[in-house]
Amino acid sequence: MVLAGLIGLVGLDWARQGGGDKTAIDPVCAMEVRHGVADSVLHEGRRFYFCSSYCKDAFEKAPEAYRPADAPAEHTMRGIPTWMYQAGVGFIIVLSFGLFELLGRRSGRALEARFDLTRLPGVRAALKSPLMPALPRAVLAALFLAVVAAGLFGDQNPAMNIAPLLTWTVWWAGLIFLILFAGKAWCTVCPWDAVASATARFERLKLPWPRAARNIWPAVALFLALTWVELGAGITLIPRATAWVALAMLAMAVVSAVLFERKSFCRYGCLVGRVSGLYAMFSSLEVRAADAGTCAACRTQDCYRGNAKADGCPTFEFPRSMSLNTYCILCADCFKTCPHDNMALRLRPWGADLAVEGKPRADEAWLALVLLAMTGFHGLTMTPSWPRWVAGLQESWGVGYWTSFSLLMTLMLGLPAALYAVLVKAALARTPGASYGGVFVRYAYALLPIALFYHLAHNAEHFLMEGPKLLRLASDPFGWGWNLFGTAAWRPVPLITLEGLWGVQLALVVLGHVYSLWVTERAARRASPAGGFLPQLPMVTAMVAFSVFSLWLLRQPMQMRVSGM
Amino acid sequence: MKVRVWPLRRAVQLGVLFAILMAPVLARYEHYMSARSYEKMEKAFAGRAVGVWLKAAEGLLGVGLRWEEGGVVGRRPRKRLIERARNLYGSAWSARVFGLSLTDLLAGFESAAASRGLRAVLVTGLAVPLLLTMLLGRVYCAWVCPMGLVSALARQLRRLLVFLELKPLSVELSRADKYAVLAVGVFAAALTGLPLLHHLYPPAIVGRESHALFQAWFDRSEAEMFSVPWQALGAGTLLLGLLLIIEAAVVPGFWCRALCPGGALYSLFGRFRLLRVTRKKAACIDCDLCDRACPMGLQPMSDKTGMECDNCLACLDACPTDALKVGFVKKVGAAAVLLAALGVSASAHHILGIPHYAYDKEWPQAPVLKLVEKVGEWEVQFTGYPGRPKPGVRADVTVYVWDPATSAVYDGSIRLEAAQVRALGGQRTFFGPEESRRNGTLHKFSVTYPEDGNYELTLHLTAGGVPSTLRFPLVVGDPPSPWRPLGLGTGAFVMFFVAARAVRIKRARRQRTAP
Repeated sequence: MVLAGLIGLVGLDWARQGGGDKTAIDPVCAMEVRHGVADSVLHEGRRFYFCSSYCKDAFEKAPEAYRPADAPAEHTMRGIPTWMYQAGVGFIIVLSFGLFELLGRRSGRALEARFDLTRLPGVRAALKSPLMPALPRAVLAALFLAVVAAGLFGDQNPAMNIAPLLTWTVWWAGLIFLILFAGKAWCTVCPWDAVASATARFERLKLPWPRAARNIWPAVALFLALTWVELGAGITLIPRATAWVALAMLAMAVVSAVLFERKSFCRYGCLVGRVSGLYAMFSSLEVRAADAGTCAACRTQDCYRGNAKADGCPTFEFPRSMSLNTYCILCADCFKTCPHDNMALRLRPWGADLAVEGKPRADEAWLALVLLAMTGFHGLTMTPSWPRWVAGLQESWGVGYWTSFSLLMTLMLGLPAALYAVLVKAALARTPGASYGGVFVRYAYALLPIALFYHLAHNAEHFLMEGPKLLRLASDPFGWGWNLFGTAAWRPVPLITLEGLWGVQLALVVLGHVYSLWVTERAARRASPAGGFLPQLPMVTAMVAFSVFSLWLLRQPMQMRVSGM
Repeated sequence: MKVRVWPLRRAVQLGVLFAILMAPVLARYEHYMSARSYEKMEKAFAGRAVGVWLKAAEGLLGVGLRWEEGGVVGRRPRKRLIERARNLYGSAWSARVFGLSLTDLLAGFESAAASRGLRAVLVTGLAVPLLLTMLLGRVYCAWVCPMGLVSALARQLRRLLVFLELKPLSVELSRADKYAVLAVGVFAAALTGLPLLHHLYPPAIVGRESHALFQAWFDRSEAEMFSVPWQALGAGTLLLGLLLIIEAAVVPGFWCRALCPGGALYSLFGRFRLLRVTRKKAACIDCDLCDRACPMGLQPMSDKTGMECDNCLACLDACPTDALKVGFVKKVGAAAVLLAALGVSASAHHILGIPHYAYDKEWPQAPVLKLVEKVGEWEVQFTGYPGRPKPGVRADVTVYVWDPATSAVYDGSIRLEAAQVRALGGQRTFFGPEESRRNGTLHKFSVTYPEDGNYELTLHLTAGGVPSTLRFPLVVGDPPSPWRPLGLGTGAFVMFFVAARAVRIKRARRQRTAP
């Protein structure tokens, strides 16, 4: 229903856009707005158009301040208006400390609903077909190599080259949306692994992955490193740097595939896989054993060991007992190996994995914290305040750009972690018989929905507002003057108006908060079944703090990427 | 100690390849000398690869030459150098060497077929190669054609694949196929008037690619872009790479043995060659080594060499008992043909129209950067000329703002600010904000960029009554080619792959020998 609502909202917005093509400039925020949908005011015989009531109010209060003046306005995109921000914060607080407490008691049952897709005709046959991930993987690998070639050899102007926009605005932002609906489907068609597996067909040593590294710390480190170069060095605007990052990732995947058994890199080292793995606990798609009885009677365990039809689970999962999406790459190998046709591909409600007990792990908990901190950090670097902070630190401490940037990034990483650590301590005091580490790890999963939904809200802006520019670049990916599809001269409009975007963003943050509260409650009940609301209080406070920070970030104006791109 | 032939053959092949690479350099050297601009270029190219090429050309041409001209000792002997530089034109496909015209047989026959006539120049150019082929057989294939080096490399690669247990395929193609290719190609040329075979013919490809590469290299260097212009290489290089891979992994001896139309032609004319490999039956121990060594897949052990033998003499190297010998079978006949060839070469002239040197005025072009952005009803057209400016040289930025709906042209002021985007983040403004110069409806700026790198140009304008800033990206200078790191990375990976494979093979062998 929520999904239908979101789609409806976007659709309605799109329909409204159709009204008129004439556009004007909002005098307050310098955004482009459409005549048909914009509020307008007649002032001194001239009609002014506004992106929102926020700008309109500001203009009406002091029209002189926004008259053509010498001071140039930044070409920024307004964040959500104050009334929306205030309403959102109020709503979140009411939900957290009152309303949800009443409804929360009944939660749980609804998440067990499933719809088995393999019961539909043709689905199982398709999954068992040898073409089933191989064909889409080959296509995507070819596309991937073409984009890398564009990044390396195409015009190095980011407005003329498809690599930066496709990678950072469409893929990296769109990936999070894909996870919401199809889980780790990216891993299924992953071009890095496609190339690596193809290479490993010629040679593989099948060494065991080092025992000390059988965790996801390598992936956490890679994620931090990528965020650092992405935002610090601005590689999102340098085609060649984008291509080199893609190739570095490819090198790691290929070397790991040649050295280690199965898809060790996918399980332990890949940052995309691990980030999407945690988020995929939320997705609406799962692969599970259909009938536990059949599995209990099974003696061959082909799903883990592999047989002539396909390899055993490439990410070291036991499909027969797998209860979480985290490490499942939806490769469909278990559909091929299972002699009893006992695997099922199922639709399910969002967040179903968070209701499962599972085995909480410290590395996963830290990745959840890092995700929360880094998605917020990502948003923060695009606000106009960020360059001022970096410059301010540079001046006051007399350090270089890199030091200043790294310090602030560390601070942004440390602050949420510290806040969380302190509140875990407070929660511990009210949970008798629990260890600090246990509570720390258990509650960290409750941060995931907040991270995911802020991530979605932030990326919605990139994806819906900037993504359509891809149409133009698709016709001339190298910037060499081609016109492959006849779209090279198009100037596509955003998929959504600003006000529509705000609605989507606010709804996403509130939704994420609700999920977080629900997971907190489950975790608290597991820790002390008779504890009531009190032990949850510190954690709920943490959730409120993080959600309000998300809203605050959305309220800030965002700097547009460069023109022409 | 047996004297081996293959080092000599390899040296000749490498010498020919070097000459093919040097021909365009010599032509460019001669051009600069004739235009009296060599000294200027020497200075401009100092410390660059193109400078080294020119120096090498001068070093070669100056061998044994007194550094003196017009009675001034120490001055560059310009006239003599130019004279000498004119002694090598063309490539292995068609060349003039010391005044002697040489046309590859396939080139000659295809031209004749395409034009449906035989011109005198063609006859003189063909005479020497034709006579030599009749005398010596397919020696062009074994000793001159650059494909010989590619095939040798492919054989080594094949050995590596076998060592790595990668199991290269061994598809057999009939040696007769090449005659079909030749027949179809000549027929198509006669029918359509288009010579097509030279697109597939390795000596033609190598010569063409060499000229294209050096021409682009020197032309771009004159415009101060010194990187190696790999983009000048075309489909021909890809084809050679493809032949290498096919020979190594799929069909050994694929091209020369079975498909080359030129090889077919040389075989036909080499049928009654006088220089032949002969076998002393008494010394032969039927060991089969010569048969296995023959790159053409012939059987010298049973005297089945036929017209395909290119006298590469690999069988002589392979023979453990020296049972194989090479020599002229009819001494008098050989001397007569040789004399005829010498007689012809004295009167052979250079063929007109051979692409040994061309000055393409279209290259290098100065492309324009054009970006368009909409601000309200106004469309802002941002044009940079040149699109990829050089550091330290003044470049133009032109801005045109209009309303496409009403065709009204923007009449306000436009200011420009230019900032360098540092590689490690941060920006440094070095220009403006400065008011535009008006040229009719155009707004012009002249910006001099301090160094190579990424820049951001910010336009300030008041469109629709609202002050706006628009940021446009720009790249200055020639970004370094990604080929070097790409090649290094690929090389490192291949080494890693070979090492991993070797480890596994060793491990498997140890397991097999263990009890």
